[in-house]
Amino acid sequence: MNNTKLPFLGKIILKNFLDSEDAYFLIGDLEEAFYQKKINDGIFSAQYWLWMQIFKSVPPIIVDNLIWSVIMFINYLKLAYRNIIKNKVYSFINISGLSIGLTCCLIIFLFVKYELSFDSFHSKADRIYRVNKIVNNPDMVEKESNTPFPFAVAFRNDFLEVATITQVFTQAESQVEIEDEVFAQNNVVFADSNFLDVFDTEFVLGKPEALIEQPDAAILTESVAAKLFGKESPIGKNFSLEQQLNYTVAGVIKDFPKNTHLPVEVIVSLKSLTEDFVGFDLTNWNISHSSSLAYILLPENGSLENITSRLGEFNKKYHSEREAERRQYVFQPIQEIHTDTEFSGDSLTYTTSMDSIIIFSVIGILTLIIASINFVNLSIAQSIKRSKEVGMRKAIGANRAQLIKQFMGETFVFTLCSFLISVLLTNMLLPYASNFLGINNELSMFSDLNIIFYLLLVLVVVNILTGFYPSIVLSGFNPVEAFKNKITVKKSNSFSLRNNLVIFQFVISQILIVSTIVVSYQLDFVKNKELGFSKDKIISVNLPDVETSKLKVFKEELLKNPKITNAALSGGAPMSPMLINTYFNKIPKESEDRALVTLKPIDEDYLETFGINLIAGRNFRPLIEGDTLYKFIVNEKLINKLGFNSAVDAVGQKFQFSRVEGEIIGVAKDFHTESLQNEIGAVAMSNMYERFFAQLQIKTNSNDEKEVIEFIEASWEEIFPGYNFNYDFFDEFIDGLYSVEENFFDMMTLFALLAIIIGCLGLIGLISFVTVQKTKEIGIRKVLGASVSDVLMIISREFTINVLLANLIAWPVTWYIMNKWLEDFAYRIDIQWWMFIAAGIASLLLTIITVSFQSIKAATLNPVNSLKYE
Amino acid sequence: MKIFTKNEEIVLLAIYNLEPNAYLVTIRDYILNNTGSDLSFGTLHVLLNRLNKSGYIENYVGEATAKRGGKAIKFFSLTDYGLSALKEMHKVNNALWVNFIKNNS
Repeated sequence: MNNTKLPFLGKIILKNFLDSEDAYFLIGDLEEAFYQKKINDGIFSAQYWLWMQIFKSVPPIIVDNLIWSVIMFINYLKLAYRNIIKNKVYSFINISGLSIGLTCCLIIFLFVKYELSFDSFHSKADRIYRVNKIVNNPDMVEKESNTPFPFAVAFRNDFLEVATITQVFTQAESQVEIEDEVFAQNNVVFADSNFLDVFDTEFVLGKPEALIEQPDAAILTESVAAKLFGKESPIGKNFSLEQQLNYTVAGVIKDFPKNTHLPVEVIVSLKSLTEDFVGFDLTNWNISHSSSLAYILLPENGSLENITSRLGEFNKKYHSEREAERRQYVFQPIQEIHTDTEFSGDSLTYTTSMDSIIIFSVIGILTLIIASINFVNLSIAQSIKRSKEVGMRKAIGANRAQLIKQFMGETFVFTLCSFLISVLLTNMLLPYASNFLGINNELSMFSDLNIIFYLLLVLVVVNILTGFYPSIVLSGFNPVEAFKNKITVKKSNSFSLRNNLVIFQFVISQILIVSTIVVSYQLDFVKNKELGFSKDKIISVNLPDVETSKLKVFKEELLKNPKITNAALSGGAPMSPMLINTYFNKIPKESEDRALVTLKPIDEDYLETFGINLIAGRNFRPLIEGDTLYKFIVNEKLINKLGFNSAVDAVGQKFQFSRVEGEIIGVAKDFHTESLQNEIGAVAMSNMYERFFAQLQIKTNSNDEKEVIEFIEASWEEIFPGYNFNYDFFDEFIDGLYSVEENFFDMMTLFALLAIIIGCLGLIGLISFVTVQKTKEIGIRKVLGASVSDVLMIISREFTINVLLANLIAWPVTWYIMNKWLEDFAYRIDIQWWMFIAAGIASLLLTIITVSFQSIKAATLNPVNSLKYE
Repeated sequence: MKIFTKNEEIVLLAIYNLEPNAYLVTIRDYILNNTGSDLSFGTLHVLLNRLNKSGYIENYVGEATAKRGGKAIKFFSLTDYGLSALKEMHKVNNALWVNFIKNNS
């Protein structure tokens, strides 16, 4: 009988698929047949036969196993369904908690996915870069997304074989005229013909060549074509831009997707751009205009190295030696532009910083974790009730793997329910959420079918997160102890982990609460801080590009109305997105170093309109024809930078400003020129820059804003016929400066609230369980003389300790995170200790209320009844 | 009454004929010799298990013998239920074949 034993490997294979009894007999049978075969056919053929038998046997056995596990699984599902129905409150808490968490997570996931998808639709997106500029000044480094106007042509000459460059000049807001009709039109782009090579455009009508051949060619997107020309074919139609430039429509392209930093609506030939139109010298390398952009496209397998290595040489060729030293051109991948705040400049769309995307992702994951923890806690609490079931299953022969399968299956039913609910909920909430998150497009769930893959992934991950631990705990019960009802809350080790989970949950909600308080105070602070000028009841009207004398007529016309107290022509309000930055040197030049200053073109009524106070010197007098001396009113900051000891000393002094020499005639108190993230900068105001007048600021004393605006519009129609009238309320603009932070605050509040709701739901579940567990203990205590408040104390003690512990952990973490956030603001509040205490007390109170809700019921039970229990 | 698959029917008949010496190896040989179909051990094992669970057959463990290296044999035998099911099957088969037999004999 030697050598008739089955090979070891064969045994292993069979044992893997059969239970031990079946394997024993089957192996016996196989060995017998093998022995017979060996005698009849010889050892080799028998060996061959044996292996064939083993391999042929495996598939039917697997199929058989599968059939049985499906049958068992259906049984598990049935049990899970019964359990849900039996414990309605528990199931409701569990499913709703998880659904809320999942919904948050899904919405944030869609948001993050959208934000990260910007500009990736261009087929050559990974090879397109925007040319950015860095200028190193002694007191600050300027980072700008624009390039000098002559840059692109020079670059094309010098780097012809290395990369394709396209030059773009953007007009965020402008107006289009067709015969007598006027349309407001956003996102008009002057572009050279390479634009169509670099970016993806799909022509519906016309040919791309037109942009090269005709200098007056214009290409419209479909929606613009429909807006301007209705259903008629737009090809060959004429329109004019800002009453200055004339175009013929040469093509229609498909609308650009919304997830781009360059949302082009009208493309016109760059050749048509004139110096008159832009108002600066198009050949000057030292002028930076935020609308002048350049993009390069690397050839396939090309490398930036080929460009950067020769860029120094290029710089020296076109810039003076000093300028070449401090100036640097860098290339930014197009897909990174949307999430970059450093070079954001004058973007045509909004920018979302990578930081906030990360914060959102973290919050999304945290909410999901909180919800999962909740689920785990409740499942374990609930499991005690089912210890007898586990004991019974084990006694009749269920092994641990089967029990784990069963409980995983039950969890699966719960997660699937929550999952379906949250998918529905997400779909319903998305329109509101897109609005709330401040993005430019409506998110949709199934725009991309990949989402199904992600959804399944989330489902599996959540199922493992929520199901694994409880099923391990449950399946580990000793059947004997389970029957004796010996499994209690305190004895088992697993419950200390449950405690840790509860603490972790509280830590997260605590961090969110304290952060919300800090953010709300900071927002309050920046909104109410003294800005150095008044912002109420001021209407800003954007002016057309016409002669200054006409603007003055308009101003005088308005001032005739008694409801308008002041009006001032200027380049922009004290705090304005339109900043004209330049450099100054002191006279006599003590050093070659220059410093940055913001230039404000204003007229003599500006200071009064905005209530800006002079601390020395005088205001401007109305400009008389023939004035050639540049007079300036500067702020205190500039006085310091220039090196004067006091404001009075500075008055009457001369200094070199950009290329002109000027005299300081007055010193104004410092006021903010940018949002409070930035420090107050040096400001010089002059009445000599009338060509830069872009806005009329109108101060009114009337409470009926509508009437005033109607009056202004009527005067506008009279003086500027054919121009679009648009205006802003200055205070609304100022408040709008913090929309990003405000959004952030809204999100924080919402998530803090959700975290608290989910947490409280979990608490209710836990408490109801604990009180059931302690029914007897409470009964005995009451018999021995404990009062209701004593009992309440006992039940809430554990949770109170948890909350306190969680607070201790959360405080330093929050302090660190919030200090980081506040660092973004040049003007900020200090984090106060009471903010932590308040949040702590709030959550403690909430816990106690939640706990007492359930435990009062247990505490007031008649001990006779509770001792009878069981 | 459930209609058996052909394989189930063959296995049941094999057990009937082999009793009391019906176990996996003999059943397999019997089927191979009489029908020519070479069922694998796994297929047969699954079939026997299924019939066993449905109550058509039962099993008993024989004495350990030296023949199999000291391993015991799991024998199968028909239950009363299995026997009556076979009878029923026979009737069904007869009814189905009756015309064919009449015309071709």
